[in-house]
Amino acid sequence: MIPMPRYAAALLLLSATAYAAPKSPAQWHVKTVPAAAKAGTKIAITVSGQIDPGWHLYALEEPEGGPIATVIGLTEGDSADLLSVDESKPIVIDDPLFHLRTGFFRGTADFTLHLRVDPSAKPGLNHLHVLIRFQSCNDQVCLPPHTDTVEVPLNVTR
Amino acid sequence: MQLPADRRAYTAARAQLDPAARLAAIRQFLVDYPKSSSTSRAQNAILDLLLAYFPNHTAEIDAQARLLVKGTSKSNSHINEEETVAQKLAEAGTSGIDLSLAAKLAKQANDDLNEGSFAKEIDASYSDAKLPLPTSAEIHAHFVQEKSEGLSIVAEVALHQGNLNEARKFAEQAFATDPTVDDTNSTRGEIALAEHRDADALDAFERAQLYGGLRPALQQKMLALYRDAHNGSDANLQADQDARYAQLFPPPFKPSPHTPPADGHTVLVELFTGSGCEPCVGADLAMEAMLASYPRTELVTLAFDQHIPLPDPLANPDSLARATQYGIIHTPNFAIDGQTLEAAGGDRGDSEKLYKDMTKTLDADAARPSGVELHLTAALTPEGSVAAQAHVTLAGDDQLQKEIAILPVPPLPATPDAKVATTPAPDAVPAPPAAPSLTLNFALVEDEVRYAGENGIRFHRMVVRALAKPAGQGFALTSGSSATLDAAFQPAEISKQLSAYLDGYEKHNERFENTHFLAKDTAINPAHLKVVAWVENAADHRVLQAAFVSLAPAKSTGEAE
Repeated sequence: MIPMPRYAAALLLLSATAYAAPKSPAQWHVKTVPAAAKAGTKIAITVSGQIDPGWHLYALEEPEGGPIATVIGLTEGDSADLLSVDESKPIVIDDPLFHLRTGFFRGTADFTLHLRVDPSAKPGLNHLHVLIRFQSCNDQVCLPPHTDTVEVPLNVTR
Repeated sequence: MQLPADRRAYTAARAQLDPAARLAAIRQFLVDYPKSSSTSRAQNAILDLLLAYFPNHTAEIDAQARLLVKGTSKSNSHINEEETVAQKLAEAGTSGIDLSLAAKLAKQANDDLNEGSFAKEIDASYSDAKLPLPTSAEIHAHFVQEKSEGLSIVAEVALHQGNLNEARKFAEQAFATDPTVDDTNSTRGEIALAEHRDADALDAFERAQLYGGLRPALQQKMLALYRDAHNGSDANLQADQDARYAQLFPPPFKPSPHTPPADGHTVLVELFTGSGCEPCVGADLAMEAMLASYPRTELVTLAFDQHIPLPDPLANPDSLARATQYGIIHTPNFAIDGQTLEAAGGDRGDSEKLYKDMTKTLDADAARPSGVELHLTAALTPEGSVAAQAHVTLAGDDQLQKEIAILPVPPLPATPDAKVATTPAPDAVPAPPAAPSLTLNFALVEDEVRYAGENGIRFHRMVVRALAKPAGQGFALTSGSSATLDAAFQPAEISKQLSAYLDGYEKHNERFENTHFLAKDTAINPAHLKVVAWVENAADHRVLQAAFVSLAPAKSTGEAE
């Protein structure tokens, strides 16, 4: 084991205060979604996370041996095929805790899901369920990964 | 969860059992999804597969290695990539593959890694991220670790090339640069072994293990060396390593003198920790200091290990359930008499501050008299069972209610929303506390478990092995009365259950994809067995009284009032 340089605290970050009985340090909402989408067409929706001060969560891709990357998905059975996911630009830094270059988000994190609406989706109001599985850390602790769900209303047309 | 198409394709490719099919599938993935964020991971996986299963495909290996380090950047990340590839090549097969390229990359990385540019890049990245800049001393400490690792890779390559003189030269440079790097010590051990300097090899391997990262194969070599040096016996290996650990990691501080309260009760401190949790080191050592400076009539501690952030073989269903009961999802975390504190962790150097902060709260709480008398006895039966008995006398509802009401208010969460939600208005009248609903529970603990986890802590104190009743339940008590309650533990059976739990956790769990504990020794040492009992209010977990009893070396009793 390599001793952790003390400035890991600066990277992992800032606030000396953590939580007595912590809730999730990130709160998610739908940032953009098309007003309507034709069945079978490609659309993009963006979910955004507001991250509590002092906390951060990791990017979609992290090096092996590094922190647990954020995973974005859809609930199985949702009426769309998830093609790919983009992320807002993470902060990239030499992470002395992991001895690796890691990417992470502070403040906000946006994830854009590129989808193809199921050709057989029923017209009218559908609901997609975006799943965000993430690990978050502050300057002193890392929480185990857990999954939040964001419900996205989608008006499907023919 | 439905993952994005590229992730699904990559996962499917990696799931191919046949190495050749897996290799082909990953290459096809790169063709199909050239813009995927997993491409870098896939390229690394290809090199790993070639080295592991196709060591004769030297041209492919060489090309793949060069692909991973293409470019002439001298950035810290590029240097790190060169080192990683060099190390993979050096450690492939029985004595390395494509060592000429490994040597070139390792030396190139070592030449390029200098403190000035290293520090400049870190400063720039922290500035860009609007983070407070690390101090020069902090960056220097980081640099020497990196430099030591880089030098040890040069040494390892030279060792596998058969150039022992060069290997020794670089390994000693690495050691002089930072003697605490486990890889550096491992490489020094391998070189010494090749030069038949067995005592030096044993010394280096032991250092590597005590710093937390000796590979299993080298652990076997260390064991063989130790036996050779001790007439074929490894009976004293642990004791010798204990002494070495004490030498390498002396107590970080001497606890300040403690003045016992004139009156009061026995406080229960619960630590939620993890053997793979770096910031838990400071918390573990702070708790160890508390155990040293407070008698068990004033303080009882329990350690509940968690699989955070890495799998922890000291964790068990009861320890996880206790954390769930509190809503604790991170480590380290303390609860004093059932009230969780603001999370606080750190390294060895932070343990003194943690100790002082903790004992300040602890001392204030300890002086509070309790309306609960708790007498605990326990004995190890000839059959190997632990029979525990608690005699509890409770004051009446009124006194207990007052007592619960005067317990300190838990610290407020730091989130603005939570503050708004929990801070009473200036003229608000606190609601009267609900009638107490008291329960008693027993824990079977080992006061010392020797396990070298990833965070380097060798001795784990007051590790909870089992609870008599599931967390959050316990034996119901009635205020204004007395009760005698019995609990029995079967250490041998608990040990089996812990072993089965760890095996099962490795096979399947929801947190980690590939789980491998560093060790799975669940044997319970009777010499270290203790029983702890405590009375808590079921509604809010507040602990009113605790007691501790030791089972070793002979029948003994403990009590607290």
